[in-house]
Amino acid sequence: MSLPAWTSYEKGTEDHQGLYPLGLEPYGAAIARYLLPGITNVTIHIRYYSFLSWVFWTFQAYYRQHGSKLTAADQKKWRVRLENIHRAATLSVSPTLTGVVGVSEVIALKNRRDSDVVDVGSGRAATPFQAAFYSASFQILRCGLDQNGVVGLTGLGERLARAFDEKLKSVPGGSRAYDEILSGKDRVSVRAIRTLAEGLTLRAVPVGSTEHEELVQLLFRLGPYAAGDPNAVSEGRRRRCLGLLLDIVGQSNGQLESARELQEVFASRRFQDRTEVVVPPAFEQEFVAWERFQERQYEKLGLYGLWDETLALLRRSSQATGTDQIVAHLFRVVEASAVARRWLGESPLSIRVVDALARVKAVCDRLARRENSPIHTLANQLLSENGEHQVGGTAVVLLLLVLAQWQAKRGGLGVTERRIHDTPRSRNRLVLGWLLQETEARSQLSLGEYVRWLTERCLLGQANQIALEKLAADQYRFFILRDSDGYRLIRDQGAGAYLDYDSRRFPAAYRLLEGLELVSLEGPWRLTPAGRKVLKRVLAHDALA
Amino acid sequence: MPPESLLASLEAWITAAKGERSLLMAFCGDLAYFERVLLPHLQQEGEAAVTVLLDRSQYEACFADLAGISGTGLQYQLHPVRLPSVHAAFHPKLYCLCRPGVATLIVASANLTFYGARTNAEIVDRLVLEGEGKGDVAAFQSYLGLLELLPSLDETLPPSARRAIQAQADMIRSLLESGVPMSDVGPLLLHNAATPLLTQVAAHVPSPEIIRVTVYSPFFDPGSRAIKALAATYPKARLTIVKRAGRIDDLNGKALTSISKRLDVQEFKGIGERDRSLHAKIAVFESSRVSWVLAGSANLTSPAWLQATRDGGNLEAVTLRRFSSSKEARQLVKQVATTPVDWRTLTYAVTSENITENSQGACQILDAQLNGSSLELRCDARSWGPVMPVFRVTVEDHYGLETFSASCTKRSPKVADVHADLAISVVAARDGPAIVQLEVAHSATRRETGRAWLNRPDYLSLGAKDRALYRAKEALDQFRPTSSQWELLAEGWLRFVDVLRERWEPVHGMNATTAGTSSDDVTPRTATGNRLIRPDELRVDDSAIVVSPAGGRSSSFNLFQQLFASVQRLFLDDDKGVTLVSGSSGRTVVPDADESELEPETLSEQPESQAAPVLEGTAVGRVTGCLDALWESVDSAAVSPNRVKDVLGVLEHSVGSLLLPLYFQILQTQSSGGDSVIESMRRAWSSALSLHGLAQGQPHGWLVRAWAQAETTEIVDDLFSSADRAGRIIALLAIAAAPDLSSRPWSDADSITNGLLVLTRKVRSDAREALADSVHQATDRLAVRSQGRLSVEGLLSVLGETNAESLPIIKAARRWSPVAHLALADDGERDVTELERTLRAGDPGLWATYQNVRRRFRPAAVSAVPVRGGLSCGGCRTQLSTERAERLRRLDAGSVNCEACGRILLPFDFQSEVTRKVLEALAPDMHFTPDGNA
Repeated sequence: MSLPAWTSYEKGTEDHQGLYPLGLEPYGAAIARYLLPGITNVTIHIRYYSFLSWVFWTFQAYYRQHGSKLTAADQKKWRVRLENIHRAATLSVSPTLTGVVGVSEVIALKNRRDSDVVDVGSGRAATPFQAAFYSASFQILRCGLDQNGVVGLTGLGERLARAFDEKLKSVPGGSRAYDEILSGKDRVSVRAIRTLAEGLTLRAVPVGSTEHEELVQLLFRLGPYAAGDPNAVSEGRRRRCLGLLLDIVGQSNGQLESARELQEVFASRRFQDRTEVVVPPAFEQEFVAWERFQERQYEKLGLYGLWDETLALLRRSSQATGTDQIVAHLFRVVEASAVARRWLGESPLSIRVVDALARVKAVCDRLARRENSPIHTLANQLLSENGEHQVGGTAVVLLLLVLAQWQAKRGGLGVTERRIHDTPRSRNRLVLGWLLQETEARSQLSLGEYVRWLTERCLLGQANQIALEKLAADQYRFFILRDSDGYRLIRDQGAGAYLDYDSRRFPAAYRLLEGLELVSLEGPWRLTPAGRKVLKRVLAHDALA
Repeated sequence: MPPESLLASLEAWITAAKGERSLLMAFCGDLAYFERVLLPHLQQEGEAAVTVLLDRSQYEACFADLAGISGTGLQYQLHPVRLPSVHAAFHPKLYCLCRPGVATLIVASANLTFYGARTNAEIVDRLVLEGEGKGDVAAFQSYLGLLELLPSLDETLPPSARRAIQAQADMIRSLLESGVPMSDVGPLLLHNAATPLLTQVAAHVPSPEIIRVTVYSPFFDPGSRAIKALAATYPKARLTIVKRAGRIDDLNGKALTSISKRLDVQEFKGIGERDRSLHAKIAVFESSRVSWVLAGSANLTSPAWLQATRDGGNLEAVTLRRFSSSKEARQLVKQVATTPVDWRTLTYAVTSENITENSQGACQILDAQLNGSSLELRCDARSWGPVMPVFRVTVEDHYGLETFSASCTKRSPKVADVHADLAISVVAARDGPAIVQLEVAHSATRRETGRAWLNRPDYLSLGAKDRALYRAKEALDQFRPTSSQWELLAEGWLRFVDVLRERWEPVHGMNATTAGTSSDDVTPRTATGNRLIRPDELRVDDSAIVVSPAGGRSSSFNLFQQLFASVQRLFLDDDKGVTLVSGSSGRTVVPDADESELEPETLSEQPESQAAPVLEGTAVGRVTGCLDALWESVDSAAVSPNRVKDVLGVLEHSVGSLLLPLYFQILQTQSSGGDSVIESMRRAWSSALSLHGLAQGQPHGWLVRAWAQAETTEIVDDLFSSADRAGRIIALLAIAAAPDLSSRPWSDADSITNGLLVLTRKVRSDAREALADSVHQATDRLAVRSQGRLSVEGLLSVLGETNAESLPIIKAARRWSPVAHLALADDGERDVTELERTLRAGDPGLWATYQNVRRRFRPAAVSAVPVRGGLSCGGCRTQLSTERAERLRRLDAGSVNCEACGRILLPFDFQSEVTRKVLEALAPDMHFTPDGNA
């Protein structure tokens, strides 16, 4: 007779590197990607595009010499060699430069003699040509295409490569060095790298050079499109969005110094001195999309504020905790919150949802007479509390405020302007339009009942749903789990860890623009004369369109 | 680390059972986990009927799962169980999975949660019963007893749950051979519905022999009563209790001083692995010779061990197995690492999982069903006063919530039926899970509310295949592609059908898809297998790269992959070894860096509330071109039994899932290309159903040919015997035939609608009404999907005109059948007077011609025979002129004679079985035999 069996343990079910318990981040990232396709948080050096194009272009010449026997692996080897040389050259010129991929394995030239020879064939260093850095961007910006491991260049990629090559060849006395680094050999002299370092390095591209103009084309795509070109829509949006970023800096009169101020501009359409941003009609849609992005951040902060409170309870509890206990804890936190009392009155949880929305709107309108964006102030307050204090009360007010503002605003907007929030199929990302609809349906409930619903649906249910979606792809991403005796904390990232904005991409976009000398980001941000010219071209292009 | 063979996966056991009717009883469940991980394996085949019973308190905890689920109340029914005592827990973990001929019963300590299945240290036991009473008979008899008792333990169980329990009991009963006596042979299943567990254990495990008892239990009762009772039952035994680690407040140590000399308490440290939480409930009884192992749901608590359910205890279920030595049982225990604890210092402070709270004062909904648009709730009305309260019903689903007023009928002092009409609600039209909340206002100050999951019998009754089809259709209905996405869809569809076609051919050595793939890949390779670069790969055209409107890899790409994989599963069996295809595009859509975080929903897609995109006429042309190519290949495929189902599936999906939504989108967006879509539909119908060529025994319609051939008739009849399917196809055909939808008339319409008539005529007379209903419903749905652009009446009027008698082929058959009969029978021996009289009366001119020819030839009338694209005389075999052949094909009214021999040429091959069979199907009063005997 067989025995009963102990159940097996699924390995690795508790150690995971998941970051996003409620799965809200991809939606914000999607908005940013929608506005700036091809630009990510890490794509900050514009010259990587011309360098990588040059790598594949020089391989074409190498292929012409040795073609019949070359494989994808040979192309990769070619790329790795030149990346090693490029990395060494860049850091020899600018040792403190950030954003250089693979610095931990860089070939340091500092204490070497010119006559030394270094091995450039090693593939240990991280490559910039990977999706997490520049390879996806390289393709989305249409420099070239990776097909089954073989990278081919487009016309623009070839032009970029030629411009880069032209610059490299113009380095005085660089001809021998040039031949040496393109010899395909793994051992290259330090002298050769040093000689060409100025031509290779990641740095700003001078205005007026061929490379500059091609890179402007790369980002802005100012030329005409063939009828029916499927890229016209997304590339046009990127052009206008970059134009908008230039324009905002131009109007800012030195009031912008970081992304944080720019967020406030998107929240209020005003600069810090309360002057209004004048958005050119050509850029209005893009500005509206950034406004939606910003509203989404407030919604997300509100939800994660409540999540943070939930985890605080689970963290303290030695045993599993039931839904009722979690809800009761949130009630206590909200009741005790000075922010909640200030915005909602002495018994915040007993008022009806409809009244709560009206109250936060009224308080906000009153505050708006004195400050640019009360909601932004509230969000900053929540962010600054960052695990030090209970944030549940602030989170509920922030959530109500973003809902009330969207409720007031959405009626006056067209379908396109509403679309980012009103995407019913994205309700599993708790989009704002969906949340408002659900909130309005509960307008006659007490705020306490509404908080219960938020807890069940938008925190506990959502976390479980997201984790199970990942599980379908064999990824264990549970942060909390319910068993027979309630919820248990599975993975804790610490108090306040979830309170942050989604990746914005516009700081990286500004770095790219800086690399083209279109803006200056040293101190207060400024639009350069070259930037003004490009802005004019964009406006002219899109006014024409 | 224990050997793998001693460990089991609950998920793997449930999957392996291949249940078609499943009853799952647990204390609690994580519905989102259950639906994603377990449910799919319970609905692969057959009835796919799944019922889940949970403890009432845990049933309510599941309301938080709404966001992450899609099947509660639709794919499976979920009910709470309320035991006689409000403090008792419905606590068994019994997972019974039946399919024809086999029942598997998994008895476990694990709930239907992720923790239970994957993380906790749990115990599982498996019992199997096969036909004719083979297997674990005694245990299944006990289980059957529990099923029979269960409805009496909870009088509030709704009828649908009772029916599910009854249905499973019937299946078990049919597997048990009658008259097999209950015995101790084989494992036993013990439950405490009527008798306390300890009493039963004592009856099977003789007290005087037992020298050691080891119990694993995560929970205990506050007074340690169960431990003491166990010790008292086995007074000679040394008692070892293994409890959860890291807790000092879950066992009342003081209460155990009376048994201190023979008590030992240990903490569970794992089974070779790290940090697992003990949730298993095991008791091992050892004598000097034999041992017993008890495993299942029962914690060592008073409500589990000392009380019967009827007397206020929990409901528990365990297996009890007897072993001929202690060795086996030791094997189970020795895997476990434990450390001793000083039990005297332990206290009891926590609430046991088994002590549940009853939502006293809340309104209890005993059952919630949506039948059509009628929402019916059965409620516990015991606390209601003499004045009828006011009711308000709120239904919450994924999309929002709606509130309705409701009326009430009191069935008895205990039970009331509350009814709300959801006719004008969108909730009823949606098909997601929903929670019903009932608010009962007795007075201004007294208000009760209760919640329940909504069950929808119409969805629950779907079998596995229908459910899969339904889901695929729903997914397609919600999809509003752009022009290029339509092209991708059509290309993907074509590739998929290619795979199907390959499946029709004999497979040698490797599966069809693998063969296709390898032949495509002609790139040369180096000796080490590295692919050599082709010169053209180093340069790409700018237009080769497409950045999706959302800025990254097109989400539709992912969607297509899922879509085609889903559709493909409807056709292909899993074990056929055919690789699933995916959507493809001539262009490369590049991924974005954080693509892995992308979801299908992106900004590039149209919100549901927004109009679908306008389509380009050229793209529409390419879509229809793809499908036309597909039908050309079907035209040339020979009829064989293994192709029939595929061809019908391809027809249904080409028209219903591709062309129809495309057509609706064209209508909705006023795009161009509507006519070409209708033409493409007509082309599809023609390939499948046209009667052209019937006279010569070769009807063009593939399915008509299949129906007319003896080896495939039954298959076709079977496929069309479903009133639902036949109704759906008829309604789809009406779209192509509707005169106001295309600027071009459809000359072939009669031939095709009558082709379909042939296929559906076998629908049994008792199903005719169902077919009519189905046609109406399908037409109704089409009208709704077209958003008012098609009318039900218009579509039905097209179908109403179907009349075989008006077909030229039937008219011609009626004209030619007398002479054909006469010619075949007129062999000089048989009496043909009656046949001559019939011909003379019906067609004097033809009779005269017949007499004339008859003088020279017998038979005087012969069929024209197809030869190399033309026709020849069936008598002298001379090829006919084009003009005469054409007249015959057109079924001209006048007679045609052979230019060489003068015989009368019949435009029909009455001797062809195909021709005769189809004609007889269309005009049942006509009857032919190959020898002319009418």
